[in-house]
Amino acid sequence: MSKKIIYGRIGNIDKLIHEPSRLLIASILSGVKEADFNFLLSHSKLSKGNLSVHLSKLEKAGYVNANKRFINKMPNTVYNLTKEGRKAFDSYLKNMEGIIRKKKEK
Amino acid sequence: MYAENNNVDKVKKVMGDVKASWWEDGMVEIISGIVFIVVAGLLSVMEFVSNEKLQAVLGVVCVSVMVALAVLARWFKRQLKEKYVWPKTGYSKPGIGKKPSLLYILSFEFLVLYVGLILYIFLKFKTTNQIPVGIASFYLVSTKSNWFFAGFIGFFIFFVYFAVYLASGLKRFLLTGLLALGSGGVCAFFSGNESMIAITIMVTIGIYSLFTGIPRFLISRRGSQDE
Repeated sequence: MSKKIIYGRIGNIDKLIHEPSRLLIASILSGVKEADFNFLLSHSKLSKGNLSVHLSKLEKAGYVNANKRFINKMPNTVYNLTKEGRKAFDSYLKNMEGIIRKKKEK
Repeated sequence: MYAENNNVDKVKKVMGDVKASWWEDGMVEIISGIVFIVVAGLLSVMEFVSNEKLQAVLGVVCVSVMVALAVLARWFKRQLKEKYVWPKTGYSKPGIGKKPSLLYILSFEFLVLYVGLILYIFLKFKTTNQIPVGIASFYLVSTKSNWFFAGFIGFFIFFVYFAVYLASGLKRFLLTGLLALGSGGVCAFFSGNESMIAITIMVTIGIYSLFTGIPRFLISRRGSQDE
């Protein structure tokens, strides 16, 4: 594959998901149907503030949906990847796999 | 840069770890252990029944209970996880839905019993040697076929654990499966009774599951993150 095509693929990479922390959050959420904040915190090892900020960005972009509720009078927010979010994540992985495969072939 | 980082492999590892975390709070082991010990109890009751036809009926009931418990176990495990493990470790929903309907359970029951009956009819009329009679005995007729019966039960448990523990790794799968086959084989060596073989395997695996599940559950209850 030519360099032009490889660079074209690189240019198509979703920068929102590509950011390491957000990629980690998207990876975690793609492995489950939904997860609460504590689960994301324990699996991502991000700080609470950091996690909140990245979740907000993903939510703003429509990739993540946040459902706030109360369980036994305790606030609990549950997150899940939206349809667009899953599509964007799958597309990102496909893109990355394509780039890596072509680089290996070269 | 992208080839060196290889984000894709890292992503797949994260997804795998997240899915595996569902199995790490001991719930699967505790429920499996209870299921096996309940079934061992049912098989023990069968031992006290001398009437062969009644034994056959009890055998079918035992299989039906095993199938129903297996179908309900996933739903039940999730309820327990929601109640006893969350919110210490955080909660994720892995995609297991609502409680299985009666129709769903009955469909599995029918499938297992139908396959067993077909196998019995086919093999009984096809040959008279011990192996097919051993298969049939699990469903309908009590007979002596120690080694094969032990192997059959062991293989069943082996397969169940392969399916259930695939996400947890090969080590646990091999250990549990070999424990089942080993305990069945040892019992078959000393005992002439296929029910004892099945009971031994069930109790061994049940106790092992509880021994591994309870400590894991207690650890997960303490929580894994700073407050």
